[in-house]
Parts: sequence; structure tokens; C-alpha cells
Amino acid sequence: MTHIRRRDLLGVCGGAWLAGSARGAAAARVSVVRCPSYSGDVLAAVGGLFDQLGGVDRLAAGKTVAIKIDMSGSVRARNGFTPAWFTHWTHPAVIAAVAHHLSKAGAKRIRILESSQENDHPLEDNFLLGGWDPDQILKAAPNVEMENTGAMGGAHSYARLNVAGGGLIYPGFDFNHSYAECDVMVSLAKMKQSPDTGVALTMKNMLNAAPGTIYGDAAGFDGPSAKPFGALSMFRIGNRQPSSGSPPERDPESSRDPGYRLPRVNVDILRARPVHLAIVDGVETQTELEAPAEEGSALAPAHVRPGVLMAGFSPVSTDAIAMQAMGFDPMARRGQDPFLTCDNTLELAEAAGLGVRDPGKIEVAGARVDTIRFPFRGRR
Amino acid sequence: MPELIPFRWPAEWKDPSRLELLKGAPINCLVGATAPPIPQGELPFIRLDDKAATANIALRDGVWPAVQAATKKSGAAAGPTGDAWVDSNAWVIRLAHVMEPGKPVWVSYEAPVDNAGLGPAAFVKPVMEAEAFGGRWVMALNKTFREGLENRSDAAMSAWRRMMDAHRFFAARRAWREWRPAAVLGVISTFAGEGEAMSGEFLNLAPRRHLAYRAMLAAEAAKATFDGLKAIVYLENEAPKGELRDRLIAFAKSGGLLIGPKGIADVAGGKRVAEHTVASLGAGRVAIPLQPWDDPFTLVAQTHVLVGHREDVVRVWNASSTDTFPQLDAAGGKMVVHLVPYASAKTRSVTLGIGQRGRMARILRLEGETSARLMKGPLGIEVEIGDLENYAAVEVEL
Repeated sequence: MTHIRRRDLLGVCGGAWLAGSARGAAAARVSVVRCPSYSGDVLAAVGGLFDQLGGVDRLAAGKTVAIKIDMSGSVRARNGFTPAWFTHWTHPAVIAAVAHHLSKAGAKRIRILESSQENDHPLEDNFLLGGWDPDQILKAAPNVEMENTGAMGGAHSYARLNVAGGGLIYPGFDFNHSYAECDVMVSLAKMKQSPDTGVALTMKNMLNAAPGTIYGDAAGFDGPSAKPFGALSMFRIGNRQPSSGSPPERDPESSRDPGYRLPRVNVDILRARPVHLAIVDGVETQTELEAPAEEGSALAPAHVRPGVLMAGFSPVSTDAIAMQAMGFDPMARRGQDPFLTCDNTLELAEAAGLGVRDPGKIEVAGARVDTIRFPFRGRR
Repeated sequence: MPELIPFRWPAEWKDPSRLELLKGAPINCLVGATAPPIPQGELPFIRLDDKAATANIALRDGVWPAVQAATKKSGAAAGPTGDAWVDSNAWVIRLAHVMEPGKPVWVSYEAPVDNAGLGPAAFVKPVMEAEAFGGRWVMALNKTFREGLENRSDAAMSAWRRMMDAHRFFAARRAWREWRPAAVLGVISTFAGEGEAMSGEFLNLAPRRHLAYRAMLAAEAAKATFDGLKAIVYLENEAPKGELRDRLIAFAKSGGLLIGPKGIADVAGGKRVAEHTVASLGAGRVAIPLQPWDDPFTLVAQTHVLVGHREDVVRVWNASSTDTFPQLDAAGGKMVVHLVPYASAKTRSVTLGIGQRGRMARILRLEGETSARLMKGPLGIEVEIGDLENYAAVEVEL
């Protein structure tokens, strides 16, 4: 294993050193723009989104930027007939626009990342399987690359990311090298609900960065498997430990309740691999679930069009404003909607020093939240 | 002479009145181990174990087409992903056409004995599966179905009529039998000897990934056309020699991808892709495995990555455990894509993607034909098929 000490520093500082005073001052600012459809001028919308943050030049200039997108679920599954880009995956037009603007801001190299839970194909192939031409993204700027981080990828080993402060569940993780070999981490998520964690936004997006070869249902026991397959059930229910050689749980006797575990594992991942720029694609999405409903599911996701994009330097603050827009209270406790069966990840993240969740303490730049509010509950 | 449509006459049926069932049905031939003890009229009888009687038929053993739980097979047999195991006759039929060209292909099997409760409705799929891939199922009843027909139960009679309708459906579209596979990958092998299991399983698994292939016998491949192929995989442990090797090298040099064992071409260097070393050769590439192939499931997946999903002839969404078979007419102006789902439950909200432009499309099922809305997608066209039970075909004017 490669032990990246720079990551320890990142974890301790929460990444605040990276963008200097610009990031520090604007950490609790969240930018909001309207973007009614993906066929409109998404490039301009994302440009406006970044401008309202005060620009991303100081964040990206001369840096290697990793963008964790959301392609959760099977690459061959759709919610009804609707392509995944419109319901539960980050839309390629948004990914391309973000890459373009980060490149324009001086990024030296841009890596688009996602961890497949079903194959070790090049990420480009998974775009094609999903029905999209990856060239739109690869040609959005010079030096754009893709990597499927569900396995070891192009490296010879996994990168050890230690959790600052020791971790709530795990003291560290072994991730694909791309999560260590980046100066700037961007979480580009879809605006979604989650039965497990209430909402699935920029923080939850990072949970799915974990490689299935070590943390998936078909992970090896003696060491990582060659290929990823299956959900990250060990995060959810703690049914087993990661592959041998990767850090096990601190306390295997702790609660196995998904509502307890997932928010804490998520916070551990965010402390091990801090996010510097959080972006929410809420142009079109779906309600209820993070992926298409399985046969016989009582939940029926509806395809909806909130028509909004959001960004902030803090994933906690960005998710808090996104929750408000979705009609939820980021200050809600366990048992209150949408955290009916789980702890509030934002609360745990705030306690861990990852950002502010109280909307009253967050500066919203651009469209006011009350004008873009789009309640997710009750949509059919 | 009309094509023969065989029916395995139940040994229990000794009453001539049972022949009433065949009135108006397209069945025109009875088969079995011994001739029925009843007057058959003009219906010919063929003993399937009589080699002389079946000399003009490519007769193969088949399997009941269905999804099996992975736990019923060993982990290795089910593949490393834990995907559901599918029993399919698609590859047996398509390979039989290659091995014995010009002959009708029959697949013979009966319903699994450990599933006596299999209802009559389940017998429609075997008919449609075989016909979709250009073959014919030697229809055989299980006890439940036979007794249902004896009692003229609604379920049995309805299933029987649908089986007969399935034959009529394909008879009305006999032209499809002459259409060629729309393929990007040529699969060359002896399909015999040491490599038989590997090459056969490769053909079995490729359509599940919607990797469109055309099989060729190694002995004939030197003279075969490679038109339309983007890649060729030579599925033998030893590299070919002589004329075939020269042709394969020429294929790569002209821009194709040649995948084969060590020694298939003299290349040096290259980069590692999907557990193969890929080196340039002329305008094309040669991919040689880092280790000898030993797992067909892995090899099919690696081959698909090497060929590239950009080259996919078809893509399918919401249809796991479904085989596809795309065919082109002689002029290349029409394509038909056969879809056979192997799950017992309906497959919902299926969308088919075709990697090229099309002008109009229609969806054909046993229940009828509908025109399809063609949607332009980033990689070609998409067609909303809807629910998929036993079979559907999409015919597209390109």
C-alpha cells in the first residue's frame, strides 16, 4: 500500500489551506443558479455558478483536479425509459461544463472519476454502455481523463487515505490512486433522496468512491479482488470487514444499524478525502431513490425537473442549501423527515469540522432558495 | 417442400382422437423414439436416434431456456460476478448453422424433470427462442401440459395455441432466416477439441453482453469474408499457420483488431489493456493475452473492452438476462434485432439502442406489430420496446 502522508494533512486541515483566504472566507457561501434544462446553455450556467462563488481560479490554477461524478446503479438500468443522465446520474453536459471552466481557471489536469460496482471497464466504456458519447466530456477541455475507480485502475497499488482524528467507524481507507493523486477534489452530485441517508448529495456521492474490490459484496478476503462487483453492504450493515490489508473497523462490536453506520462512514471518508468544491446537479433528477427501483419495490421514483445548479466550497453547506431547496430541513434530527431512520450526516459532518449546515449561517449567492424551492415529498 | 415443424408425440397418447389437436396447427411432423401406435395419416414420423432419417437436419441437444439461480451452479460456472446463470440455446443454434450450413437446425430437449409444476404458458418461450436464432425446438410436453391438453384446460389450450401462433409468426417472416448476422466481431475457432468448451461458452456469453459476433470455422476462415468486422478473435490455444495467419495479419494491417494467442503476429511492445498486450500493426492492432485464456466469462468481457463499446451494434437497457441477435438484410438497408429474455417474470420498460441512424422502426411480438417512435440518441437511435415476456423483435429501416 502507498501511504500518502499528504492526505493526513488534508484531513486535519479539512482542505482549507488549499485555496487560501478565498476559500476560507467563502466556505459558507453557496452559489445557486437556475438551469431549466440540459439542452440550454449549461456552460453559461456553470460559469455563472462559479462566478458567484468568487471564481475557482485560485482553487484550480496549476492543479490536478479530480471530479467524482455520480453514476450510481447498473449502467444498463434506467428509471422506466428515461436515460440515467436525466434521473440519477450527473448529466454529461454538466460534467463537461464543469471540466471546461476548471480548465479555463488553469487546472493542469482534470480526472473524471466514478467507482463502478459492476465492472472494471474503462469509465469511457461505461458512458457508452449508459448511452452517452464520452467524447463530449473528454473534449470539453485539454487534459481531461477518466478513470473507473471501482478497482485499482492504472496504478500498481491502492492509496491509503487515513481519517483525521482516527475515524468514527474506520481509521482509514484504501482507495484508487486517483483520489490521492489530486490537489483538488470536486464532488459533482445529483440532487437525490436516499432511503438510507435521507438525501444523497455531494457528501453521499463521495461514499460511493470506495472501490468495490475492497468494500463491495464480492470484495476479496485475503486481499482486494481483481474486479468490483456488488453493493457496499459492509458500509451499510457491517456484515464483514474490508479485504485483508485494508484498515478494519475500529470497533466491530459497534451498531450494525445502517442508519447509524452510513452517515458515520460517510463522514470518515470525507475526513480522509476532503472535498474542496461541491456541486449539485438539480436540473433534472428523480425522487425517492438514488437508482432505479428494483422489481417489486414499493418506492416509485418520479422524474422531476427542479431546474437548478448549486455549488460551494463546503460540501456540508452546499448540501444544506440543496436540502432546503428540496423541501427538507438540514437541521432535522433522526426521526424527522428526511432522516426518518438514520442520523443526519450533515450534523455529524459539522461536528467533525467539515462545514456549517445552519442555513442561517450560510450566504446564498444568486437565486434565493425560496424562489427555487422544489419539494421532493409527494411528487409522482 | 415445406420446412418441417416437429412435435414429440407423447407415448401416453394411444387414442387416435388425440390427433384432433393437430388440426389446423402448423405441425407437420411427429418425432420420438418409436412411432405412435395410431394412424398418422400424411404426417411423417422421424426417429431422432436414426442417423439416416436425420441426415438432412442439424440436430442438437438443447437446454430448457431459463434463468437459474447462481447457487445451482458452482461459483466458477456462474461467472465471477455472481450474475444469474442463463441456460440458452442461442449459441448452439447459431454454431450449428456454421457447422452444417444449409440444414435446418433442430434443438431437442424436454422440460426439466425437477420442475414438474412448470405451467403450459412456459412452453411458448422455447418455441420463440429457437426460432429467433434461426432454429426449431422439437416441441415436447411435460406431464402437466399433456394432462391439461387431455382435459382441454383453458391454460393448456391457450398455451398450445400460442405455440402454434409462434410458428406462424416466424413462418410469415421467413426472410429473416436468410439475413446475415450484424457483427463487429468475428469469432474463429475449430469449435472442437481442447478449446471446444472455451469457444462454445464464448458464443454463449457474447449475446448476453450484446457483443454482436459472427462465428467462422478455422478450416474455412481463410476463404471467408471479413467484411464489416472491426475485430477478430482467434479462439485456439495455438496460433494459426499459413494462409489463415496471413489473412488475419492482413486484416489487422488494414485497420482491424486481431485478438489471438501468442505467435498470432510478430509484434513488439504495446500497452496493457484488459489483461492483453495491445500493439500496433499497420493501420490496426494486435491483442495478445498476458496469460493463456482460461475463463470464457472473463475473456468475453475483456474482448468487449478491447473491441470497445463504441462499436456496439446494439445496446439494451433494463433487460438483464436477455440475449440479442441483430441481423442485416442482403442490401444492408434493414436490420432486425431479436430479443429473448430468459427471466421467468416480465422484463419491464426495455429500451433498445442501435448504433446507427434509422428512418423508421416497428416492434414485432407474438401479440402484434406496432410502429415504434425512433429517438435520436448520442450514439445512434433508441427504441422504447416496453415490457418483454417471451420475445420481441425490432425491425429498422436504416
